[in-house]
Amino acid sequence: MTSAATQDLDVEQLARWIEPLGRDGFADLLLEWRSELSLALGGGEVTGGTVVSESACSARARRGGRVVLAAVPGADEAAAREAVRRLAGELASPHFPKAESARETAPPGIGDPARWARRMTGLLQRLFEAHAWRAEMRRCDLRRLIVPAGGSPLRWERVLVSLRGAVRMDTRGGPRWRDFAIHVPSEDGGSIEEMRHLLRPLTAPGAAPVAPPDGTRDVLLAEGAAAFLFHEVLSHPLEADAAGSRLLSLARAKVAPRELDVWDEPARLDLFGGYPADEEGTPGRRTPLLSAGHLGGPLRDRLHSDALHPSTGNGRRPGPHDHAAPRGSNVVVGAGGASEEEMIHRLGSGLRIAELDSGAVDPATGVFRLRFSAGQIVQRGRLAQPVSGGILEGDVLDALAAVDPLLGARVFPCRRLGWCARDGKILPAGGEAPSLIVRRLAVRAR
Amino acid sequence: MSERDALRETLAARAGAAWEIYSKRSRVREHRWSAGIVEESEREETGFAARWQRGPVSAFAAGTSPRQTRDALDLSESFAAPGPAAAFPGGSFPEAGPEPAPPSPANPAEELAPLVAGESKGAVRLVSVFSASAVVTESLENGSGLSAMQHRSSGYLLAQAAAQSEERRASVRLLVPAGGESAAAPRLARAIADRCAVALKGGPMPLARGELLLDPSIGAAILSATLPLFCGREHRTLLSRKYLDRGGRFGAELLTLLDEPAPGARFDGEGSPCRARAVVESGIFRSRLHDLVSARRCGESPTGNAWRPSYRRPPSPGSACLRLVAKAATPAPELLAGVGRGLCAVSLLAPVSVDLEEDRLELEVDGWIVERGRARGAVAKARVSGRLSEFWRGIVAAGDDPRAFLEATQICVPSLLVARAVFRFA
Repeated sequence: MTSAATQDLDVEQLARWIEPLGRDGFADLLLEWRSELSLALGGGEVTGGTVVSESACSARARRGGRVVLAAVPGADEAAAREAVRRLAGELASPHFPKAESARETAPPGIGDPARWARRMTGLLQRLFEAHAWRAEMRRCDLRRLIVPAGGSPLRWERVLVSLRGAVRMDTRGGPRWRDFAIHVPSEDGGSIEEMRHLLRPLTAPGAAPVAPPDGTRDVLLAEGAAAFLFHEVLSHPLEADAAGSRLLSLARAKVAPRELDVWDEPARLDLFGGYPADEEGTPGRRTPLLSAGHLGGPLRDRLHSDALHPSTGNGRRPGPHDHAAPRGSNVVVGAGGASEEEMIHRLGSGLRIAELDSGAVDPATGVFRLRFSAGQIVQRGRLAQPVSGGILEGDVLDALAAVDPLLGARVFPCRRLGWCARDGKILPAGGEAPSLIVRRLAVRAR
Repeated sequence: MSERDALRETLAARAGAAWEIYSKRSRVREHRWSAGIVEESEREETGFAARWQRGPVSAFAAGTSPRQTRDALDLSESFAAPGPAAAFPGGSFPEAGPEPAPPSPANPAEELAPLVAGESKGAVRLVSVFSASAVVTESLENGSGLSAMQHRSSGYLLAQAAAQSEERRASVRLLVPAGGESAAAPRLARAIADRCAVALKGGPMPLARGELLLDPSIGAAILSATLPLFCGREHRTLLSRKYLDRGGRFGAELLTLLDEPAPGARFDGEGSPCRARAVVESGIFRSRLHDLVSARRCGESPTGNAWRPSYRRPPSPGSACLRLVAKAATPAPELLAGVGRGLCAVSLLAPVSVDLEEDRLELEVDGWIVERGRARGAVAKARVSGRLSEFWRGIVAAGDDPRAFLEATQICVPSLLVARAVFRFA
């Protein structure tokens, strides 16, 4: 994708159009250009591919307790003018942009990710050459321009790559399919190397996995998997619009060991959920979710902020067609001082899990669930038999209180955490974390 | 030359007559009420999707405008995969009338909030109400001479509520099509209050086995998870191997599953005419649902079931609306009275877990213990597991209370009673 589209726009003119509508609250324009390449692979060949190139634009304004949004297709001056015109009509405002001043501009080209896709395909073919496998690759090139009324326009772009699939590994109990999912915020050589590093162990021969034992177990979340846990048990319940969330009423309460620090950190662009500024034009900044075991403040967008509690840069929108809502970005967990061997020894007996697939939380009841695709039994401080997929369940506050104070010294990016859906809105999310132990989690096979 | 003409010419130059342009224009109005804040949207979205066959490969590209779609053709073709040629249908359809404007969606939040509080004696609080109405205009043209257009209207309502007692918290989400009986405020309020009451009062499940009476919302979720068995080629062998007996029986004799077109739809996502057809009739499997490609691969006729939930993806076999029709409908109170000992499940706590390959079904529900036709006590977090095939064969009665739900597609199901002791309650 070239950057011609945003350079061709008269951004000052867009700001002049939206500015009068922000006088009694706030208003902004969001323009988005998105191209997406999806490939289905199997048996070493491409079995299907789609290319989608989209652009859209919306204008939004607040009047007291009412927020109105008008969205139209296209992302040029003509589309922006039409969006502002419709918004002014909805608000019964007399501030209509002048008709003659809008230009139609060409949408940006979608570039040529073909070379990248061939490298990715080659990587999978080499890694899995002796195994049956299937995969789906998705590359999303995203560019956004945010024009807040009375503020400075911001533009940024991201490349988000997702790889999902399954490979048939040889175990002593026969062949078994093993799922994988990797989400990286870049298409460069470093990301491809990281994928190679994460995928290589999948086909290593080993014992056949057994079903995870049902019951209450101590669980070691390794290789960044703890970021997935905190995304569910901290990030979602601390979103300012999380209706009835128990955590929102416990501000500054001590809920976890004092060794534990967790932040929401959108400015970490090396993680999947990063962005320089949210879709309301507020720069992303570090927001404590857990500080020395004490709960941090809520994640806020502009609608859920006031003079004393400004936006935390978490006003996120999946696209111009959606209203903003406070949503987490990257969950970053502070490191401790223990080696991985010390963590396993500390666990004693339980489960070591590094591959979480998906999660869900009900902020009102505080019940959360995490699905894992594989794990390993730990007995008396030693790794034992692998286990197949299962589900971890618990209560948010119980789980936070049950985090062991000993934390791993090395932090790992959580590349399994990728696209997060809430209320039908799907946004990128990421994180990094050291290994940590949660005591007494409910485990069951699936 | 217009952008659309240019796209048409480019495709014809590449693929001769083996091309198709699908376009979609959605106009949507939304209204969300939450904690005194109102969010309103007026959205317009357009999309153009091109599919074409060049030699042995078929390709797909889409964009917001014909120009963006045309710009994506080369890249898409470089990743096109070999596939069977879809013989795009010709023919014509009557002219579509003028496009209606989407009505402002009714949002009953202000009426619903006191009703919910009243039904629950103040224990339940309405958290948010979201309503949407949409008018979708689809048009299709292809190299075989088809040129067709149709308008469809839809709407839905999503209500969320939370409740709290001294020891427990509960939350409920209800998603229903707008305009129907289930979206009426008094009925919604009662459903919300009932579900929260069970979640707040419920104890552990005392039974190991028994009969199972399912609320229509749970039956709809199970049917939605079962639907892929009937679609296209993917599960063709699996359906025969694990779900059909030698006589082709899929379910209980009273069970009929009808696939229906979406309201207002005259053709599917590829221009094939669509009509209602029985997928399962009196328990016997009758018809698979096909688009052009899956029909050709299976050596069967297309059934007008090319499903396009979005212009961003190629069509796939699916159903716009699936209806469970029982041969004899039993009034709901009689259905409850017929339960000797078992569970009346009223709401799902987690998405239905269905493994089609392994023929497994697992539900996590709140409900009531029923003994001799009477509710004895609330149960929270009961887990019901068993074989999916046995579930469909074990249905012994269906209620006269069919309700429509929005799952992956629209599903209409009444209350269902499963009498065989094939489920474990844990």
